[in-house]
Amino acid sequence: MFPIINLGPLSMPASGLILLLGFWLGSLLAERKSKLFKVNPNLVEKVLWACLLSGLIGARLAYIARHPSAFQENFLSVFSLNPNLLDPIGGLLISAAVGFVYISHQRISLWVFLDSLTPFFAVMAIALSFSNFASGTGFGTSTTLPWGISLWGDLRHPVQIYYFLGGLVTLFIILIRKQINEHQSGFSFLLFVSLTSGFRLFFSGFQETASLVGGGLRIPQLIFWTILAISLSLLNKHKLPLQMVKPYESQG
Amino acid sequence: MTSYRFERQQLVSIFILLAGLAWVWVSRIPTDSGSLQPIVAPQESFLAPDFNLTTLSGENFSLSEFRGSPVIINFWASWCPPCRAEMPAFQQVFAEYEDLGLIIAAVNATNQDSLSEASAFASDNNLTFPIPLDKTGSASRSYNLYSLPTTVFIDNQGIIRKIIIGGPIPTALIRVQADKLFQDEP
Repeated sequence: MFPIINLGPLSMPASGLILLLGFWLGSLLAERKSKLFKVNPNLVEKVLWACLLSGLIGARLAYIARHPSAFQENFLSVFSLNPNLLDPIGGLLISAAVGFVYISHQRISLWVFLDSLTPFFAVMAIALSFSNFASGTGFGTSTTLPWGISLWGDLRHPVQIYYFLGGLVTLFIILIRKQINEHQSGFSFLLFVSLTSGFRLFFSGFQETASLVGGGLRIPQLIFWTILAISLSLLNKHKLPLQMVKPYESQG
Repeated sequence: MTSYRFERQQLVSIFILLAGLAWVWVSRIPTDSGSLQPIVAPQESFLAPDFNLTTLSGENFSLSEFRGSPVIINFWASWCPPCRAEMPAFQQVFAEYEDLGLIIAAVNATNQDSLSEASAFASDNNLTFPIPLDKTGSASRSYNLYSLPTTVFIDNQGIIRKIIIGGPIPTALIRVQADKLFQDEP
């Protein structure tokens, strides 16, 4: 674990830096691969930045909306750089809404655009695992396996490393797909969702958790199973809604 | 041929989902095995490690004695600028929530600080909450202290609800987290 990176007098949270690096690498990769899906790389860049900025502002606004009384006597806290004053779910929803509206105005199929963003999502999933590893979020159950790591007085599964490796395999599979069939728009994205939820469903069985439901079932596993079921069901429909893609040059 | 491939894809999906359900069941944590006992770890959702220290005023401070009350532990040192900057906010929140039963303990990392300077800082800022002195670094080690300040929010069951590394923490954030500790009460 290395939650803080010290550079001279500066102390920076490693998890935030890793996520930023993931955003940068993921957007570069998505821009490069977007041509396969006949999507303008400039549009990919614009949408990602619009989503990032609206997500950050939206996350702060959502946090304030949820806890207005906390800011009444300390209004300047509204402008605090502290990332703990962000509401991730609110930010994600606002970011997705902004992205959806932006794409809608470009008359591009949502599925095709999600396909072009899939490399970005895959890199961000890897960055998230590595970020959690750096911050020490989550740890594994006890194990006698030789690769167990010593933590809290016991040998434990290195679950964040498992997630990280699962993310690498997912990214590899996504990237080796060279061409898309126009009748399978959305395939890359759904494949990513299926692989990611499948890996998470499997590996979270080795994670120590306090989130349990009747009979000791792990809540995260049930959530990943549900996501996997939905994505596999959509993949099995085979033909997903496809709209005509605007001419490449006129996008963005 | 296409029809066959389509059916095979569906069968594979059904197999994967059934295998997933089986794995969810196999990897469950049996409620009767005693493995549901809270694990002691300096991580959110786990039981806060206990420590026993002497405070600046010479009293004993044992974290486990405060089970039943929400507790905020702030690790700090007098040479740390963000620690100094955020301490008035803790004092302000303590004044507001003390009557409700909130405990704030500012654990001084005395093993890497000057006791006289820590004492002078506490006096200058009129800090009224306990300031346990971690002279050997044992409490810092049990909380895997990587950076100062680090703040740990613990509910009345002794479960860590939030860890914030770095600072200064805005007063609004301390208030929100303190409110959550009271809201989580069973």
